[in-house]
Order: sequence, then structure tokens, then C-alpha cells
Amino acid sequence: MLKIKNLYSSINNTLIIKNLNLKINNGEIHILMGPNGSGKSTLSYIITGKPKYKINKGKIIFCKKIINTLSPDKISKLGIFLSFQNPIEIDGITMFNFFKNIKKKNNLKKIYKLCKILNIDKKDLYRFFNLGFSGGEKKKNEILQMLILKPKFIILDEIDSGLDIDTIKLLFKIIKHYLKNNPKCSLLIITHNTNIIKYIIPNRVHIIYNGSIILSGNSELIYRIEKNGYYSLIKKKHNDK
Amino acid sequence: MINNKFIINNLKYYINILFFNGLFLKIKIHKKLKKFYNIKYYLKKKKKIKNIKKKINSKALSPFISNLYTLILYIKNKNIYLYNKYIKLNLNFINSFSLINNINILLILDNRTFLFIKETFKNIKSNIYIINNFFFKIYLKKKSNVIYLKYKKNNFSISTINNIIIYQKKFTKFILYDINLYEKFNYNNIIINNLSNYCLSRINSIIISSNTQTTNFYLLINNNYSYCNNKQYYIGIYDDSSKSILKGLINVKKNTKNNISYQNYKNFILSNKVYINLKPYLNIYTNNIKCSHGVNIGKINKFFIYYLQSRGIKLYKAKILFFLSILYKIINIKTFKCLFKDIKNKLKLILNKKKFYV
Ligand SMILES: Nc1ncnc2c1ncn2[C@@H]1O[C@H](COP(=O)(O)OP(=O)(O)OP(=O)(O)O)[C@@H](O)[C@H]1O
Ligand SMILES: [Mg+2]
Repeated sequence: MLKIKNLYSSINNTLIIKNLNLKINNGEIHILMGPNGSGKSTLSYIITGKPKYKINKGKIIFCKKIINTLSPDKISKLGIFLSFQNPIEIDGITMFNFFKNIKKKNNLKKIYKLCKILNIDKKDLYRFFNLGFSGGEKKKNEILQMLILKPKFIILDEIDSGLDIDTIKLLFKIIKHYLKNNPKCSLLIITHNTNIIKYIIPNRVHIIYNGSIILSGNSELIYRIEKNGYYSLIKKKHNDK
Repeated sequence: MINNKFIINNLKYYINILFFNGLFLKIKIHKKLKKFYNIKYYLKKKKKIKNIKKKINSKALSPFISNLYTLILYIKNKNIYLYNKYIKLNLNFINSFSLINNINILLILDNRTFLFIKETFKNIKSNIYIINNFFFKIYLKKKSNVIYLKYKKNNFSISTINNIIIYQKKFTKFILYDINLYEKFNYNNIIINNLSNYCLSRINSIIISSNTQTTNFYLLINNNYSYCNNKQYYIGIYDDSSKSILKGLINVKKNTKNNISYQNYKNFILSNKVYINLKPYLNIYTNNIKCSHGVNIGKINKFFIYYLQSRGIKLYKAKILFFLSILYKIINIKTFKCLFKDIKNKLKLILNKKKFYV
């Protein structure tokens, strides 16, 4: 589904992603972990075509199509969805109006249903988009948009940070349900939370450090991260070289 | 932003005034309105003006009344229970040939009268060019409110010179919405005189201009009293070779206290041929005041645009939504539903065609 080959990318002439390789097949769940500032959010921005992130070298291939130079709206139309680490607030545009803008077919009934599933108050639909929402409510709103857009490939950037346990459980239950109904859909989860494994079992786990993936493995890798921290793993890798 | 509790379309009671080719033609007053309101109007006739002076019987007003007026309108709310309810004054201008409309109006609102003023313009023939030369005086007596919407629909063939002078007594509100989307040339000269304590005024101006549209906005507020609140918000979105000059001067006299004066200009420049000149002035001779003024050359929030795009919204649409969310700070969508469609269309016209320079 998604293939990233020898990716080098920079912003404002600072090289941030360095020789990054990643392959995610249909229906797979991948977890991306790494220290602060290692380039996780940046990677999600590059995949979704954020302007000014220059791709110096390499290819991003989605469903056999090179998407390096596509605009974010076209990438979204192809079926890639990013749940943002820090979603925006919009003054003057209600949630419902926003949803109408992203999909014309949206009817109120459907959205009400989704709200019920997500435990979102119906009244919130008539509030301005994310304005004054709590951190958790904003994240729920991201998942609501995901359910509306029905993507083929989902990136969740720290969906679980700042959420209470019940909400994390609820969100992952919904996400798993979505994956069950869309078995070809793949998932890339960016997180700092090693407990993630309680809620969802990944096919692969990757560690990103300084702009490149330095270690990949199965879910067992998460336990190693929890035990030893990133730096011992990174050192080991260096020494092995 | 002010939250007006009313919605324009729901205002049932109206006074319709029709000007045809610059001449007063008709006045129509809603039947029920006559019950609860005392409405008098006087046309340009010398004899009558003497009578008016007697009838209105206000010393303060007499110097304003001269035989220059096309129309003098006096409205008084007789029913206390209708306090807080707006009535609508529709000023309709219909023109059948190119001309200069010279229109002088004196409007007097007696105590506790709430009025919403709206103008509409129609040209019977296309290919005609109209210059409106308005001279509008509004005298607000105690506790009366005016909301004045100046806005012309899809019409590139109208230019306007507005001279508006406001006199405000105690506990009055004057709110002006000046929405300029299509006028070729728009000259606003607005003077607000606070004649007493506790006056409130708002100027909310939106300019979205393209081609060679030109806007001049001069504002003078004379505040000689205390506890007055004068705020102005201007948002301009300029494209092509459009021009704009905005100058606002607020005078606050000595020995006044607890006044609030605020001027904010926010501008988005979409082309490098745009000329704008912005000058907010505050002449303040007292220490006991809250005031600020700021000029902002706005930038489109790129993360905002990216976020919307990442949800599949096209670039130009994302930009329209961005501007609408900015304009929201001036105009409440619920109150001005019809207007928002037109603003959207004008934004489409500008943003659809090319890239940004911002
Ligand atoms: N516009 C920019 N200009 C310069 N450097 C930038 C810019 N944007 C991001 N960076 C840098 O890129 C690096 C990666 O940032 P990124 O946000 O991707 O980290 P992250 O892995 O998501 O971290 P966290 O776990 O804290 O969210 C950081 O060092 C950051 O300072
Ligand atoms: Mg991040």
C-alpha cells in the first residue's frame, strides 16, 4: 500500500528526514516510535504533502502511484488520512459546516450516529470547530473526521497522548472496528506510549532516530524499548555497525 | 464583535422609502407600525420646515433643519413594551438613467427607538452609471439604537460618496456595517459626535476589492464625554490594482474618564499592485482611558490551509474558509446569512483565478 524509498527531506534548508525506508502492506498495522524531535510528525506531514517540505531525494509510493509532488487535497482524495498531533481551531465555522465542506453527501443523521458511537455531544456539532474543545475532544473530532472520510491509509499522530484510559480504549475499539470493516486499510500509529500494545497489536514496530528508521521488528521490540529506553538500543545499533 | 440578538429577515415592521432617479417618490409604512410608533416625514418644502421646528420642538435640533433636505424622518416609539425591538427602514433607490443621486436625509430617533437601516439599489437598465452622493444625518435621542447596513449587491456600476454624521445622546448605540464588495469607487466620510456620556459606536467595515476598485474611508469621532465606547474594525482583502485609504481619528477631550477607544485594521494583500494607506489616529488628552490601535498586514495561516486540504478540501476553498473565519470576527453569520453568500461569491471570484502573493 505505502512504500517509502530512500527518502531525504528538508525544511528551510535543514535536512530532517535522512534516507528513510518504510513499507506498509495492505491491512497491516505499524507503530512508529522514537525520541522527541526525531522526525515522526515531519514524516506524517511529508506523506500528506504539506507544502514547503521539500523532498530532496527518494520516492513515496501509495497504491502504485508516486505521490511526491501531489497537493494535500489530492493525497487526501487518494485515501490517506492524518490525525493531527495538534489539530487547529476555527473561529466562525461550526463543526457541522466543516463536515459539509469535506463531504457534501454528509447528512445529519449519519453524523449524529457517528457522534453517538464516539460519545460526542450532539450540541458540539453546532459549536465552532475545535474552539474551546478539550484536548481529548479534539482527538475525538479527528477520529470523527476519519470515520466520515473513510480513508484507506490512516496515520495517527499521538492520538493517545493526553487522553484518559476510557477514551483511549473507546478510540482504539472504534479504530479496530473500522479496520475490521475495511480489511485492506492500513494503519501507522505514532506514539510515545509503550502501553499501546494493550489496545492494538501491531504487525511491525519501527524506531526512528534522527530522521531515519534505525530499527524495526515485531511487537516484542516495544518491550525492549520499555526496558532499556531508546538510547541503549541506538548505541547497540551503532556498535553493531 | 457585537452579538445582535435579532435576525434581519425576521424584522416584520418596516418603513419603505422609494427614491426614483434621485427624487423621493413614495413612503410606505407598515400598518401595525402606525399604532405603536409616531412617524412623521417631511419633504423638501420650505413651509413645512417651519412646522417641523415647532413639532419636534428641540432646541438642539433646530440648527440642523434647513431646507436642503430631501427628506426628514422622525420616529418615536410610543409603546414601552416595544423597547428593544428593531424596526426596519428600507431605503430603495431605483434609477433608469445615469445620474448623480443627491440625497439629503435627516433622521431623528426619539427615545427608545430601535432602527435597522438597509439600502437597496436597482438599475432598471444595464449600461448606466450611478454616483450616489449621500448626506445623511442621524440624531439619536436617549436610549435609541441604530444598526446601519451599507452594502450593495453585485453591482459594479455604482459609486458612492457617503457623508454620514451621527449625533448621539445618552445610552445610545450606533452600529455601522459597511460591506464593500463591488463598488467602483466608495468614499465614506463618517463623523460621530458623542453628545453625552454612555455612548457606544461600532464601525465594522469589510472591503473585498479587485480590479481598480477604490475605497476611501474617513472617520472622525468626537468624544467630549465620559464612559463612551468607540470601536472600529476594518478587514480588507485587496486584489489586482485596487486602492484603499483608511483614516480614522478619535478625539478624546480633557477631563473625561473611563472611555474605551479601539481601532483595528487587518489587511490581506493578494497582489503586488495593490495600494493601501492606513492611518489610525488617536488624539487623547486624558489619562483615564482604555485605548489601542493596530494596523496588521495579515497573512494566511498556512497550517490552517494545510489542515483543510488534508481533509480533501481544495486550495481555493480552504482559503475562502480561512477568510470567512476571519470575517466572522466582524460579522455574525446567523445575523447576516444573505450577506455571507455574497461575500463567499466575491471571495470565489478573487481566489479561484490565480496563485497567492502573500
Ligand atoms: N519548520 C521547521 N524548521 C526547522 N526545523 C524544523 C521545522 N519543523 C520541524 N523541525 C525540526 O524537525 C525535527 C523533527 O520534528 P518533529 O515534529 O517531526 O518531531 P517528532 O518526532 O514528531 O517529535 P515529538 O515526539 O516531540 O512530537 C525537530 O528537531 C524540529 O525542530
Ligand atoms: Mg510529533
